[in-house]
Amino acid sequence: MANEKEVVIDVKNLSVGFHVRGKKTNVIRNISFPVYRGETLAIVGESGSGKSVTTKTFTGMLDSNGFISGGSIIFDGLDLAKFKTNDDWLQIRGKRIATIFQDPMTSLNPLLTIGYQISEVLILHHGLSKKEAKEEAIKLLAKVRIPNPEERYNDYPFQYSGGMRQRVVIAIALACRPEVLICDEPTTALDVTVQAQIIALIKELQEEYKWTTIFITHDLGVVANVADRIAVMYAGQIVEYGTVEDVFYHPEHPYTWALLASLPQLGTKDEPLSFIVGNPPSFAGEIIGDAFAPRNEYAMNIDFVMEPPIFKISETHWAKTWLLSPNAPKVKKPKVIEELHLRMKGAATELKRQEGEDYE
Amino acid sequence: MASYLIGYTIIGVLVIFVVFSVLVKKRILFGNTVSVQKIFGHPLLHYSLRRIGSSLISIALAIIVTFFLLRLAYPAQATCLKLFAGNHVSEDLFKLRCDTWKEEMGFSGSVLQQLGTFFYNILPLPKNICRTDIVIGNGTFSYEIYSCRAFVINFGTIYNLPGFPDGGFVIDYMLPRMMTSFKVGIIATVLELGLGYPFGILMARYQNGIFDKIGKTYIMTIDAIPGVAYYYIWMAILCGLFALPRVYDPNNFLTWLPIILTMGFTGMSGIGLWVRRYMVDEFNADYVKFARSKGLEEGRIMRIHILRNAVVPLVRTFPSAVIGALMGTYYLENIYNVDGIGRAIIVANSSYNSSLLVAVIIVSALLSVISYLLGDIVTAMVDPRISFTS
Amino acid sequence: MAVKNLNEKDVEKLFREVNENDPRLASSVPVEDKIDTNIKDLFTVVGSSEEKSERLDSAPYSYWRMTFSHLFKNPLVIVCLVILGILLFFTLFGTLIHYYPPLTTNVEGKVIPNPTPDLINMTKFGDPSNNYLLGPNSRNWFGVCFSGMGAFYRGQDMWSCVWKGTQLSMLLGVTVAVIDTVLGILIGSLWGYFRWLDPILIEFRNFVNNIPTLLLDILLMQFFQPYMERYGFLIIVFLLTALGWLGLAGFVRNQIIIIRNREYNIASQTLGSSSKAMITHNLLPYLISVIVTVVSTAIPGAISSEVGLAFFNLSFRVQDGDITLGQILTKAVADQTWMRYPYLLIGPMAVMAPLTVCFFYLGLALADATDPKTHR
Repeated sequence: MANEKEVVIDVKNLSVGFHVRGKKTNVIRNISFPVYRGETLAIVGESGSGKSVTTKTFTGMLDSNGFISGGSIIFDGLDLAKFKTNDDWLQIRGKRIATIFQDPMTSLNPLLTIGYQISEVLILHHGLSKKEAKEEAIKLLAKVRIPNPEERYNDYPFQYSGGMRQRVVIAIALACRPEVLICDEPTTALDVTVQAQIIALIKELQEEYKWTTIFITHDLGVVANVADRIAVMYAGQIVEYGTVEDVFYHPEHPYTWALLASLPQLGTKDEPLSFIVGNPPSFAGEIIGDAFAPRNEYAMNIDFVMEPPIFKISETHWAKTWLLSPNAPKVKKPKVIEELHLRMKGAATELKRQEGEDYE
Repeated sequence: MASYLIGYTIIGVLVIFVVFSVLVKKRILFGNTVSVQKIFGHPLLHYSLRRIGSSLISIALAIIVTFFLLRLAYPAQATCLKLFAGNHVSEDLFKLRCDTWKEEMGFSGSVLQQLGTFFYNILPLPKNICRTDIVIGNGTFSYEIYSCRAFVINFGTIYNLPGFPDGGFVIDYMLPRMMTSFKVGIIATVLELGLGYPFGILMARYQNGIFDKIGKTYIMTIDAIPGVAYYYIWMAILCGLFALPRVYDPNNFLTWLPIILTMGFTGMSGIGLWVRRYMVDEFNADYVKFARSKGLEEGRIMRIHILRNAVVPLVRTFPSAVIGALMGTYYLENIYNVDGIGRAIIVANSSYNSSLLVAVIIVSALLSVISYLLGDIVTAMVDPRISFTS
Repeated sequence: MAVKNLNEKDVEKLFREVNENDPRLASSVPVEDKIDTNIKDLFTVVGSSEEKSERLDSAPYSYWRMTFSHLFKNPLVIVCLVILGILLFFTLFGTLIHYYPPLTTNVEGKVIPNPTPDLINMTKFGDPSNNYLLGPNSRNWFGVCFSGMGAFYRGQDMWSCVWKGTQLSMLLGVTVAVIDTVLGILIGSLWGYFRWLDPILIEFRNFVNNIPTLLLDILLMQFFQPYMERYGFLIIVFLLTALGWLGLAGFVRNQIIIIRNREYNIASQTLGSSSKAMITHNLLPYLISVIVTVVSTAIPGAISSEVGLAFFNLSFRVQDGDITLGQILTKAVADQTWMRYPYLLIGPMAVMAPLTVCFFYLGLALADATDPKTHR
């Protein structure tokens, strides 16, 4: 069934490097994945795993010392990896692919009014007049549930709370009317209660505007609620990719297990919260074998020697671990993962209940 | 008598104004009248009053320190000897001149009394001050009063300066020289800003490019090489290579050019450095990245988002740049013989006219307090995040 | 890598490669027999491994090695060090290498020319009156000081004067830099650490900012004038350091307030550390980069400041034999003769400019190199 879906962005063998102090480091190492139209793809991983870098290549927003060292990003017949000049990107940025950044406190220009920063986009992308832009901007503010949008149009960002600012940022993204919306950890900097509201808002608006969402987060808990598909990233590679059901109910990569096991929502009172030992590898040295091996409880000798290939589990699901090799011994998944089905249900009802409370 | 009346009336009105404003602000008077509240309860007014009030302490400190330094550096008798003793001065004449001078300089009484006199003279209180000098006849001399004025501030008198009457008022010597300094300085300030901003913007725009590297080298060289040496290099270029005049003449603008250009090329480095710094900060700001991801073109991001924001912290320095021009430049005025404040203090020191030095110190302190205050106000006008209410 | 399953053959082929490349698995058993055992061995679960994670990391980090490698990677730093080395060498030995006695002797203000062959050149260059000018030649490498520079300089060899001046300027620069740095860090640390000091020192800083330093120097010098002959060096050091520490102290204060609020210091305080221990153990190491930078930029700073004082006749008395670069420079340009005879300026500038610029550049490079943030 996945094959019938239209692929909106097709990433093939993408590699990204950075020049750091005269040295070249590979931060994204040969990744491939499709993004399906109208769906939400969540990219999950620890900080530094390359989630943000991956999506930055979609809008040409890599830092000046970053570069695409190979592969392609096909979007509507265009190869974004080949884009060089700013003029090329002007056709894509905002207009077709918009981004919401992590920190709403710093995403808005502190010296310009909220209204100006929304109208600016409307005038640019839709050729509205100043007056029309203002009317439209007020509508958008209302849409993202800013109370008294007419009065607040002339406010400055410092007069808004963090959650309110992220709503304004979303309103600006709305004003762009993009085909793809990249949400780069949109809730990390916010209070837990506000997080749920913002996620619900994004989900709701997606249903109305029918865009495709790429949702970057380090929190698998957030993902269960919003995503259609999940890509798990570790050390610049996608180690597991599949639908939400695939990844949550049949996770195959030990890193995914570890991530799921460390979700506080899934823990029970009488067992200690599990965590992943050690730190992700630094990009300065060369990575040999499976990057996750040194932290992997299920690591095999081969993991320290050779990079695992991709093993296909089903049409929609694949993982990059030697455990899936026919030669590998059958290992027993952690207890939490085995019981995940049951625990998830509990957690989901809990989440629903919380959300309901937030909207009171 | 009329001048006293006017003087005390002005001071009285000022005091009443301040007291009234404070009462209005505290809603003791006219608590419910919006129009009165708007004028006399304006946060800007009260912020300024608070600032002026608190800077009075540092000004008082400046006056006290200056007073003691003055007494240390210019003891009465030694200074008298340097000022008035000469080949043809009789003992009696010297004594008379010295006593007159001591009286004018407030040397009578204990140290505390002297400090009190010092404050009284400097504070803007109405007082009648007369310019006196001794007229030397044929073997006789008499004490004569030339003119009296109801001074608000009395910085004292000047002796032994060519082209200025003995016993003349410091303020009369200072004001025209401040104007001279200002005329040259303000043009130079405009040039500094006019050169410094494009300089900094270009460096930031092409960061780590060839222009940036040349610019940084230039800034570093100016920082490193002593000012005097640097000014002479410019003199060699401007007056040697381009044959500009080497001596200032107030009536010939061509003679102003070497000074203005030297100041412009020196001052632009400091301004350029800060403009570059703030611009580079803005380049990396999240909201600039977000603006770019909105699809705005680079030119617009530069104009509306980066440049505007980078200039805001620099607006604070505008008032001090303009007001600073009043006090002149020390090196250039002396190198090019400009008859401004910077030259006046050197002349004053070499002719032992300490009262002029003191006047320059105190006026400088006052002007710098005013500059800081204006800097705050201007910043608040361009930055919506700052309000005076809290 | 495309999405595909490896078949058994591929895997075996891969394993053979692994086998051949990995000395751990090498043995004398023939290859065919090894595959089976190797596959088994390869697919044995061994669990997470800390020691194995180490080889993924980069080489161990050493602060000073990074600092020096960062510093000496910059070719300009080498150039500056070489120039400074040469200047230092000539400062110490310049007058020994090449010394030429004054062309004229100065008796009671009257100038009697030495009967040397150079006199012919002198009159050729110079005015017919008392003004002797002699450009650079084989004996006087920087030319001869101009009589307009004051009685002391009349007929003196510029080369000898310049190096003598550099000696005192360097000594002054280093002394002032050390005192400024010590005072700045000491007072800055106290200022940052003890809150009650804050209003006092801030008020003091306002006061200093409000008053032109030159005027304070003028007043102080007027007071010190009688003592200049005996305590000249100390007085000039005092003038230059009296307020010089303030900038650094303010900087140190800000850094300390930032660092003070970091958690480990809060932890350290709750564990009962004394104030002194906190400043020396926790805070000062953070300031290494600042200290190094300040010392190297304070040296040219002090040399420059002395030039400023000399310009206004507030520096050493030349007649006492204390010449500095600043005095030579400002005396050489005292009237505009140097515009016609540029060697008067070129000699002192040829030493002054590279000296200050190299020190300054070195300071900036050190600031960059000692900043841990650049050690990536």
